[in-house]
Amino acid sequence: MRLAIVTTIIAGAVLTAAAQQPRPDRQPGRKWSEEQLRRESSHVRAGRSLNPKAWPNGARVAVALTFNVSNAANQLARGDTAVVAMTGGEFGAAQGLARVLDVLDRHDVPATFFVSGVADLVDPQMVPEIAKRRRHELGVLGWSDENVATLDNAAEEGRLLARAIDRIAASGGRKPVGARGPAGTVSLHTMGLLKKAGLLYDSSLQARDDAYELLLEGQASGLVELPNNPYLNDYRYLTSARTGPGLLPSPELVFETFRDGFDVAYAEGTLFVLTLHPHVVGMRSRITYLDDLVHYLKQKPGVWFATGEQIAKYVKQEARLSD
Amino acid sequence: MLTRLGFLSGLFVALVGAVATAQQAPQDQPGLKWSDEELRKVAHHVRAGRKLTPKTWPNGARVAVCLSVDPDNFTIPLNAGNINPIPISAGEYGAFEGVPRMLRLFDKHQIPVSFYIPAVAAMLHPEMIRDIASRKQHEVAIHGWIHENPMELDDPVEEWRLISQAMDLLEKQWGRRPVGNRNPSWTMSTHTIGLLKKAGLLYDSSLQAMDEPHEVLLDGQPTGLIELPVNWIIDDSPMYGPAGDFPSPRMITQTFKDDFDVAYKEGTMFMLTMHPHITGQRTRIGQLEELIRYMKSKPGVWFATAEEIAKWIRQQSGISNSAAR
Repeated sequence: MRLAIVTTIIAGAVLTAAAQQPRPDRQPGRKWSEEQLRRESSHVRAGRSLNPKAWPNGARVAVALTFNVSNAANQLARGDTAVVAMTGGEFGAAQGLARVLDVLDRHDVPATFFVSGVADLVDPQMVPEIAKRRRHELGVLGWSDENVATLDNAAEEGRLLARAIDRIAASGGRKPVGARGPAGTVSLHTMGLLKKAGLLYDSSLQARDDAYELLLEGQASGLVELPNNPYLNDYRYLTSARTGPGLLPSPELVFETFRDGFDVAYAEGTLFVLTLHPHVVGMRSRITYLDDLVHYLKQKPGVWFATGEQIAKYVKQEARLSD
Repeated sequence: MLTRLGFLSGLFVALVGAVATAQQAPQDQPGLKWSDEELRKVAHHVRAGRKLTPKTWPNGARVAVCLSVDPDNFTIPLNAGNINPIPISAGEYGAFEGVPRMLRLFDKHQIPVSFYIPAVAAMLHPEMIRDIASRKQHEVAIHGWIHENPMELDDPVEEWRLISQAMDLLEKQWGRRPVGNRNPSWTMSTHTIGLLKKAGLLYDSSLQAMDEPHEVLLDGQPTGLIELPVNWIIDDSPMYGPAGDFPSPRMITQTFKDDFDVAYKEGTMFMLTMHPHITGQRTRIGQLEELIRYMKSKPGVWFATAEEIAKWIRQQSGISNSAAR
């Protein structure tokens, strides 16, 4: 009985302490002045459009097929060691990537693979398979497909980025020039870190459909942005409810949407960046639709299939953009 | 006394909750601190080994098809201590309507099927296994004791007790000892593969690293255990189960056909996972028949139980689980 009383007193004390902590204000923006509002919304912004007057050889549109090779890296970053779930990522290395490379080989088109350092560490056979095609580009997707926004630590993010760049450079035989924010995130530090690391372009943001220059704290940065639109992404739709958001797991309808996205890019003469994952689109019920889509794109006259690097270099040169 | 006890335990829960909140580490991504060696150790614990798709399937068939059925009934709510009559009745639908309706369809098309049955579901509805066994063409295999989550248990002694009990009960009801396993909710602990090997099983059907048969590696070593892989995409439950994210049976059937088409082209295998309380519903059973008709319209499709497929693979590849009797 005495023990119970003591327990009650301790519990009461802890609860009181918890109750006295001020609740975090989740809507601080409502109190900001105009100056603060302008400053806080302008850390990273879209600068001028870099869409060129013409694409190489007079092409109407540039197409970047991009693949995020993360496999189980994000799961590992979270310290989640669930055995079966990990095999869902392993699928990307064991079967998905081979199917994707096969489609790209058959159509003889280049693609860009953003690879997480940990995905390469766990399955070191993937990067050499990509590199030996000599058409594809290898970019970085963080160290472990980590969430850099919640990490919010410039030193730690810089350390992880350097570790990832070193690893992909060693495995792919060349220092990467492009990056995509891991886990679909960037922090306020990311773009500065990419610039400091000497990268040519980023492909994480969504402010426009065409290529643009990034403004950092209002200043032109010389960094090229090849936008990564959330609606042109297989992960959002084609995973199952148990493995991801899986909002519309009908490959037929999803690829119809991708085609509609391309049609407007073609009409407007800009850029079409598609983002896919080997462990998602590499599944048997999805891969045929990728094959059909590439076939559709190739049938149109004036489509320039290129890597992110080729596109970024071209727009940078046409716009006479300095570093 | 009961009231006071309730009050105290309420306080205790609040206490633990408050402490847990206070202790929540700002570092929510511990894996970012792991060394290369630590990462490899965790990621390589259970891996896909060599592919085991045989050069040819029996009678020169191009592809092996296993239709598999998991009659969970209400074991999931029951294991969670949820005894509310509505979830219990929704699960019981599987035994009353789903299993008989699916069995009639398999009779009509003369297709052998594998049933992965939680032992408690068999205990509470013994007529299920009786009806399945009377067909003399289907397989009965393990699906946990009560659809438990071994990853959350993380206790090899308790897990072994549940596996052993489940095998004994299924053997008693079916008249044969099961040779295959499918882990409930497709979760495994780090002990599971070792325990399945110790149980002398021929095959497992829970992993997702490939869509063709392969050997399971445990800490880098071949186990002799054949994996007949599954996938959440070719499973009825996430798609049009109770929490279904895409409840259109017609479009889901199209996905199953698309998956089968590539399996057929690649000459491997197609493993479909269904639940009697989901696919056995009147609005879905016609779609299953449509899929069966589609697959039967192709030449060279071998419909078989997972056991028959695994035995063929064992014979063709010479693989063996040394613990098997």
